[in-house]
Amino acid sequence: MNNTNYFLLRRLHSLLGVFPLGVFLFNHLLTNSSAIVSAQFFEEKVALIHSLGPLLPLVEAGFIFIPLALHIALGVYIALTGKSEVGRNLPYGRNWAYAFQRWTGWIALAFIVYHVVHLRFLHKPHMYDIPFSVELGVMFTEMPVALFFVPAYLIGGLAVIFHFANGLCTFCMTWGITVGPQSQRIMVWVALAVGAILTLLLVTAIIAFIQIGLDPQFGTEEFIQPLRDVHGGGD
Amino acid sequence: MPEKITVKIKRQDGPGKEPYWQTFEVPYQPNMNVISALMEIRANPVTADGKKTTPPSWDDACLEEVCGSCSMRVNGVARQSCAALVDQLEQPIVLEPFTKFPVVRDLMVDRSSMFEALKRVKAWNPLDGTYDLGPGPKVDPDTQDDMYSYAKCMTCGCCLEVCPQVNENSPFIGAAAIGQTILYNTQPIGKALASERLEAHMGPGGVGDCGNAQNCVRVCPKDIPLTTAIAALGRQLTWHTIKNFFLR
Repeated sequence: MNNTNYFLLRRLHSLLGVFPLGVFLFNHLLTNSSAIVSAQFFEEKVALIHSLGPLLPLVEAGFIFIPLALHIALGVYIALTGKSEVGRNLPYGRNWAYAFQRWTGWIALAFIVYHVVHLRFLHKPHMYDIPFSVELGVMFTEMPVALFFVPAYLIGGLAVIFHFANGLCTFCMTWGITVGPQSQRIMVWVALAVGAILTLLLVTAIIAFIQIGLDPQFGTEEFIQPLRDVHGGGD
Repeated sequence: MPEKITVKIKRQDGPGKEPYWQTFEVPYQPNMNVISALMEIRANPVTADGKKTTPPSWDDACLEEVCGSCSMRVNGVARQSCAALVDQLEQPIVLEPFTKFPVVRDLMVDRSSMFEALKRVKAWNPLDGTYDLGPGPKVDPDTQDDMYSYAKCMTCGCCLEVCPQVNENSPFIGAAAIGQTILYNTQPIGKALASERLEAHMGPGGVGDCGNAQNCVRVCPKDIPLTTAIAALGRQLTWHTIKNFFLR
């Protein structure tokens, strides 16, 4: 590989993590946490996304799947060329962050592959029949599956959030935005704030779907039908 | 005051040989450093259990922390053994060779990869000829200060030793050569090769392979702002690439 291409691929990996993947992460958690208002409100947000119609697969491919696949492929290469220095007398924050960036990357990879296969590909054919809020209400409250899904979404989500927030700091170093130690320290606070907001959205979303699942009406025809109606009555 | 100090050394008879540990007891002297302890062992190479052995090998030269040659892991910390004072160290004092360089023998390692890295990034001023070139360009004091902070580098290898991106699976050249890239890209004569240095950093092993663990700047015995150099070089590469894209 020639030098310029190698350099461009390293920078592409860095850029994709922020845009579009970081922007998508924020949007995704914002949509999901809207379920705290009501299942109806959440389904309206989902319907808004699906109103893109035939454009949706293009948007998904261009802004999510292709960037994600490239970020994963380059990220796996990067992770395999590193060897953590944790445990070698280097008790520094960034040394830990380096190791966590790789560990959370692996967790995020496993979680995202499961998450996309389950909810994007396996559930998709049923989405008008069993709306997402109903599927998630079951996943997060029905025993014993909830014992798996709640921690899985919490841990998977937190791994993704750490990976993104720390990635913002390293993005700024890599591109030469934060050059000196002071600006890099300030950037840590910015990343912490971003991470805190995203964590709040994640926890809100999980609580929202648990709440929906615990609704006394949950699972009844009267509960589900209005949600189907949001999507045009299950066409 | 203790009468004896204990020194545990990770030894290796030659390149590719199996390493092994030996413990020595050395008579204590005030103000001893690790090198003087090693000299005592060399003078009387008998292990703590009374076995006669070969004298340990190590590198040293200046004995005042400016040459970098006596770098090793002292109690697990990458540093110069001449500046490691026995009174400030926990016992037993554990000495190991650096792990990111091939071992020549015992505590002596081959750091030529660092010098190869300096060649790759052309860490020099392009001056040649036997005639008088006249006075050099003027440099303002702030730039002089910046340049001096990088000029203190002694290629000791501590920054590479603690770098998670420097290992057998990665071609990363490490922070030292990145600091020197910034030094010579700042120097008014060295600047002539700036774009060649940037091109040299775009391939595998260049600054792009940095993982931002920032251990380098923590252990640098000369307090060189290595992470500042890394980000500054990232910025130079960002502009270099944008400029080239529109110029071509």
